[in-house]
Amino acid sequence: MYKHMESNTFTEKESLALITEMIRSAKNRLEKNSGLPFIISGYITIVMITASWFLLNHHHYWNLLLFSIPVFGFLSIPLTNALSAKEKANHLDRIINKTWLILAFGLFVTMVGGLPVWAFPMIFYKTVSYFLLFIGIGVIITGVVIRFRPFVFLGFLGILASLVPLWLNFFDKTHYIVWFADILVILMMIIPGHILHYKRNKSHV
Amino acid sequence: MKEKQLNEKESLELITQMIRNTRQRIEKGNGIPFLIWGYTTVLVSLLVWYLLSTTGNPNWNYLWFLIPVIGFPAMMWAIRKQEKGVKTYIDRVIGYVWIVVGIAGLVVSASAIFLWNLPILFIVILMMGSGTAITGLIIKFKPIIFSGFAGILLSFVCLIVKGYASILLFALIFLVMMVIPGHILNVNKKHY
Repeated sequence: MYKHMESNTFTEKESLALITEMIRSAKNRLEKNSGLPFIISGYITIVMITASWFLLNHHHYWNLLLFSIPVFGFLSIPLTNALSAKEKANHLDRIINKTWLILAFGLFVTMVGGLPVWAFPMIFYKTVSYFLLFIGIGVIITGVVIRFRPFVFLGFLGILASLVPLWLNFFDKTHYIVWFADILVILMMIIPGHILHYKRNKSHV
Repeated sequence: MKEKQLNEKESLELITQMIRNTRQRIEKGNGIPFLIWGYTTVLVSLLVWYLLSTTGNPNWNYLWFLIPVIGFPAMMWAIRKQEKGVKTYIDRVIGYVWIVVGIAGLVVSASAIFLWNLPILFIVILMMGSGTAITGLIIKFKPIIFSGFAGILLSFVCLIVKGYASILLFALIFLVMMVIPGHILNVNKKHY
């Protein structure tokens, strides 16, 4: 089938065939997983951000709840793999996983590094901005790898909007931050996740 | 195009070959993108640090935009000069990663004009470190993986250190994160 494989080179046509197959496979796997990782991570993020916000009134240390989000981000990767255990992950799946792992790691470093610098409750406003920025980057990269446009558009929206919490803080409108962040997570993760889920159901009826 | 189901062995061999191709392309490209962005950032940082520390005039901060102004045309020139060859999808994915990280960096940097207390040096290192680590993991090249993670881990130094000294640290981290791996790629290239 791939005649040049033995000589370790392959033609543009063969390369294209392989790429098409890999994208189709990665996209199918994501669709078969029903966008569940996005839906689960999205809802967890919303719950944690909202809970952290309301609990702030009791004690600033409830900010630390935000640390659980990148941890859940790490955990969602084995969960995805478990859900698609019947199928071998291809290289594009691994690229997506590695991207999210590094972004979650970067986010974790930001929070740990920010602890001694940003006083409570300032860390909440700052961290929410970084969450939106990093989630936006991850969503776009996932979108371009599997060629799913809603992710690309909404990811860019996330990057642009990630600065809004800092503006809200600047103008002393901090009570809007939590709702703004929740809406963005719904737009960037939960809605596209449900679109994937819907597409899967439609194609498996 | 007719869709073909690859068996596990074929798939693995072709993916390995794609990674090898991409890695060779990057290595043959002398790590030029790393050197262009690395040296441009280091030199502009030193210039801004010098002008800020000697004059105290914050308007010199606008010189940070010299990085994309010099970097993008230099990259275009390097891409044109680069050896022609079949681009694999891995090449494109790496390109996408850097486009996304670059746009995000530009958006955040531009907004720092208005949000003056934004820890922009920290954010830029964090994002570029993430882009470097993702690139390294995709092509499975250890010097780039290590330098990317080093960038991410060292980024918070720019959050803790205040004042003009943070600009010097920023330049130093870029040296470790981009210039050194760029030169390692150059040395590796000579073995091909």
